[in-house]
Amino acid sequence: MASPPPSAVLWALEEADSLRLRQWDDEAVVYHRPSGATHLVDEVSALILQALEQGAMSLAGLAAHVGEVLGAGSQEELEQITGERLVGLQRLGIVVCLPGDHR
Amino acid sequence: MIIADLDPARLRRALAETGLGLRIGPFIVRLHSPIPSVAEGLGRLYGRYPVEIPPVFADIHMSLFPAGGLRRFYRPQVIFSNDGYSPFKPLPLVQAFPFFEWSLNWCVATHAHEYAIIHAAVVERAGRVAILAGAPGAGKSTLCAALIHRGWRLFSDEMALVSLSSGEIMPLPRPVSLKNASIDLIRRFAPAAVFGPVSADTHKGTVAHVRAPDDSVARAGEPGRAAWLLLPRYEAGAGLEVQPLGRARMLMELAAQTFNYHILGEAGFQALAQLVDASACYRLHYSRLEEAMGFFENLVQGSP
Repeated sequence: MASPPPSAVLWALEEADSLRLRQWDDEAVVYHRPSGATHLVDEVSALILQALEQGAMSLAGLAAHVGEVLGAGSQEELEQITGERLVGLQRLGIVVCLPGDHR
Repeated sequence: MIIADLDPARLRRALAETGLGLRIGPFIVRLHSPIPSVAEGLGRLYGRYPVEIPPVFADIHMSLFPAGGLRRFYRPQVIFSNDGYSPFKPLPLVQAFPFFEWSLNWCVATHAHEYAIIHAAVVERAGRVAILAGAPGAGKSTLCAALIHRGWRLFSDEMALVSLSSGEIMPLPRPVSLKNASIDLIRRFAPAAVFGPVSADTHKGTVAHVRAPDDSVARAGEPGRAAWLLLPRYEAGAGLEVQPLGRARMLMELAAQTFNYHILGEAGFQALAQLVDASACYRLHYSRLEEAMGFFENLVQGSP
């Protein structure tokens, strides 16, 4: 079966209140409470994580949020950049992909 | 009473019979050993430290005793134990004093979890603390030994104790451990430095300890706040190179050098975040001590 389109999934933190995030300039560090691991991330990843702390979001919603804050790029470019960061954060075990609203 | 108040015979006897309680920074260390070279090392390098005989209370319990068995007749060894537990293999008896120093590092790093304990040399000037973090061999102790002979107060050449409750850095002034070529380098740089015995053929090569300045020992109860975080690296023949380092990257470097980071969990992360928040961060490559001293002088003057 084919994978659902990116717009049909939601992204969320692996666990609520699982992160402690500190940002300085264009880099941030994330402390992941469940694993005790600390990760260095860039500004885009930090924006994504801050947004997900408020609740699950779609790729398109996250990309729009990144665009609003950074103020640059087409929606397509923003979705590509945001998607790449989400995959990286998923590999770190910080975020998960959930089935979205298929209505 | 301080160690220097004891004549050598009484120091040896007390160490062998009841043990003694040595105040080193925030800790009281109960040390028990019948080995004369341990007493001699204490007499030479710990003269200004407060001591209690017999010790009533101690945070850390250490003993260094000759190993038994037939081996003692042809290859005498020393065994360290902490509360009856011996975590290390015995070492040659002639290395008993450096073994005390290495074992004390281990005791602090494995017990003092009210602090984030960073592998770093730490010095202070004008109320501002510089933390020189990094892996063994980066040149931290060499820089530290030079700085304490240029007006900087010694906090530690081995570990930064960052209080989890206050964020302050606690001094733990002890002899500075030098290895191999650094020994002669510091002898030339600071002819007034007082060295303990030189131990050759240890697992770290040739090692010797430099006595902590009296003023640093007397002020061991005065904590400080970090102003500078540095990652020094000695590179033979290299000119001085200073690069500002982002705070997030510095936090990652500190986390990798914090002995008990995995134990402290979130409290350790918050302590390091507070530290980098308050500090200017640099990578420092050096080979010539005088050049490096100039950089540190500029730091104090506000123009690195």
